[in-house]
Amino acid sequence: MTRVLLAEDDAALARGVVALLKANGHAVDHVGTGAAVLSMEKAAPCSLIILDIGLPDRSGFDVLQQLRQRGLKTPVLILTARDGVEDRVKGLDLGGDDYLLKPFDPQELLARVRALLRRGQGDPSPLLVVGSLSCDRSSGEAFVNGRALDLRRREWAVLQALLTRVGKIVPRERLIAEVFELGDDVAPNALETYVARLRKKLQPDGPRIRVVRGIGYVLDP
Amino acid sequence: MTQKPHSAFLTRRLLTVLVLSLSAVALLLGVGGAWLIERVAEQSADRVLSASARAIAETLAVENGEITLDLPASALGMLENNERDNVYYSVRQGDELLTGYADLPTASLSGVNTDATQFRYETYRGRRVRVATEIRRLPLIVNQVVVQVAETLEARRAIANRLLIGLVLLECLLVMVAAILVWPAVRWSLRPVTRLRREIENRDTQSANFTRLNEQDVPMELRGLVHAFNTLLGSLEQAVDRMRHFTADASHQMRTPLTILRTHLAVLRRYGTDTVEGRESLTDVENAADRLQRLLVQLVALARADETRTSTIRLSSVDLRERAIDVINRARPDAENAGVNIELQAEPRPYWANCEPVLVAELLFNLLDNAVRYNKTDGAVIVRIHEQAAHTTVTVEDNGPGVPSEDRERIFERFHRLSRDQHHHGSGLGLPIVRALAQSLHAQVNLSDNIQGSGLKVEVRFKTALAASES
Repeated sequence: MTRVLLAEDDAALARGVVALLKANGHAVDHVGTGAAVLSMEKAAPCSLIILDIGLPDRSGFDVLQQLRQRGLKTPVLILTARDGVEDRVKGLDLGGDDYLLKPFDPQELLARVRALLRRGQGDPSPLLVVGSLSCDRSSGEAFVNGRALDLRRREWAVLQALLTRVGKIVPRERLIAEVFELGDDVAPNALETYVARLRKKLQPDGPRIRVVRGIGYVLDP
Repeated sequence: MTQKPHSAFLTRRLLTVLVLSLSAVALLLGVGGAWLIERVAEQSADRVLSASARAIAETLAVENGEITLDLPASALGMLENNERDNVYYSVRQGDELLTGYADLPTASLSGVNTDATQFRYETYRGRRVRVATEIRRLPLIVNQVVVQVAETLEARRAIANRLLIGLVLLECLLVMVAAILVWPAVRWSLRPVTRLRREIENRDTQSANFTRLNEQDVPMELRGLVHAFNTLLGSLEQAVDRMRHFTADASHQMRTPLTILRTHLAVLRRYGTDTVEGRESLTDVENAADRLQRLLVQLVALARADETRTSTIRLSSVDLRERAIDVINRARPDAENAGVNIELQAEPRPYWANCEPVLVAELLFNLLDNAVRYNKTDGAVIVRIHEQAAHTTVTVEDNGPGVPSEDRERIFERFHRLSRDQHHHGSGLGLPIVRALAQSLHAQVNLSDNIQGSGLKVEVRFKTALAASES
């Protein structure tokens, strides 16, 4: 869907969560320290931060507080291995949007990630409808007039980014930030390729993606 | 509770002490009082007796060389009393009786001061009498005139007895009142104790409440008790805290590998085992399972070590070199995987120490495991055994980063791990296990820098033992 920043110091756990999120159409960047979260978030805004409280250099609470002090409104999902009520209350009070206790059910993690992403886009409903196109953000399926679209991960991400801002121009840079991971080696015309494929799959009866030259793309209602 | 007769009731104790001591005081007072009463009664009766003798002596006169006297009625009348004491008198000039009772004995008067009235006790006609003697010299008369008045002692005794009885009665009353007052006094003075008891009883027993009692609120005598109680509360609180931390830490340590297992199982379900992602996940699943297993093993080892610390274990002669070789062989596969070489430096002979073979092997294994785990690649672990005076010492040195001296006490805490070691999958229980085992083996553990400067040197000192008998 959109880019998620995962802050988790345990490498094995991070590998698992990244693989799961990617498998579900999210672009994911992983960092292992609190300092990296702060610098990464500044360099490339993301749609959701999954934050482990037990980071080696500084507490996740501390990181969260700093992020909110910057005025950041990105949803934050807190992961922790401590099941004290005080910790949960503290996390939410510091500006966390949701809270997940280890060990968690991976399906629950994915569902919460989807819910937080929808809320972050100002629309908590899982179903987005634009003309003949309906898009179920929970199941990850899209239909045009009842015809299921076979979308690849990046194509899905482009569609999500455009769908949440129907009729508005989405700048190219913004689109790249939401669709690709920071470490990705993005070819100069990679975005164009995905947009072109998506456009083709939406035709002939779906909504149209319009190019605004030099700026970005618009999904026409 | 067993009730000992002397400690069962404070009231009884107080009563005993109070009544016994008051009675002793009353006895002393009684003896002193009796003596005083005797004296006062004697003095006052003597004054009357001497007045009587003087009144007779005043009437002595000399007429034509003859002594005359006019015995005044009042002189003997003043001696009359309720007890009807008998009164006797005599007036003599030298040995010659002038008037009175001839058989009333006279005292020897040599060297006696003749100015003051003399008193003495005498037995007369079978009864004790008090005699007052007044001596006069009359002009032109050679011999001195001796006036004696005597009375029996009933009146004196009666006065003294009345006073004595009064004194004894008052003293008995005093002891009784004091004894009766013991009960309210005990209850009243124990009121702070009762208040203290209520305060403790009214505490919320549902949650562990370790709020200290206020030591300023109680009388001085109870402060020691309250302070001791508070100290006990303090150590209980610490113990409960430690327990709480331990369970929290233990569950915390288990949560991460469990999460890894669940997450990677979901990944495997999604990708299968034939993809790159799937193969990576399988490795992570295996490692997480290893971590969980090691954690469980270590937790059990720690619990066992704690148990041996509280129970007495039987120490015997153990060959430390033989144990070390065993343990090194056990640790070697892991060490080889980590690229760490283990070397034993000891003479090829037994090193006997007073300990227990299974526990000491466990201790050495944990030391070796740590030394391998926190070593650098291509590092070495050197195990040395040597004897010094009454101790046999095993040292384990590694080439790892060492432990800063300010952290050396803290790494013995359960689950404490240095921040730089967070990427290691250690449990944080190795050294706590070592310490617990060392305590039950009466051995000392010391940490220092490796001789080469980098790396940690752990030294465990056992008591040297005599060679084990082969029986």
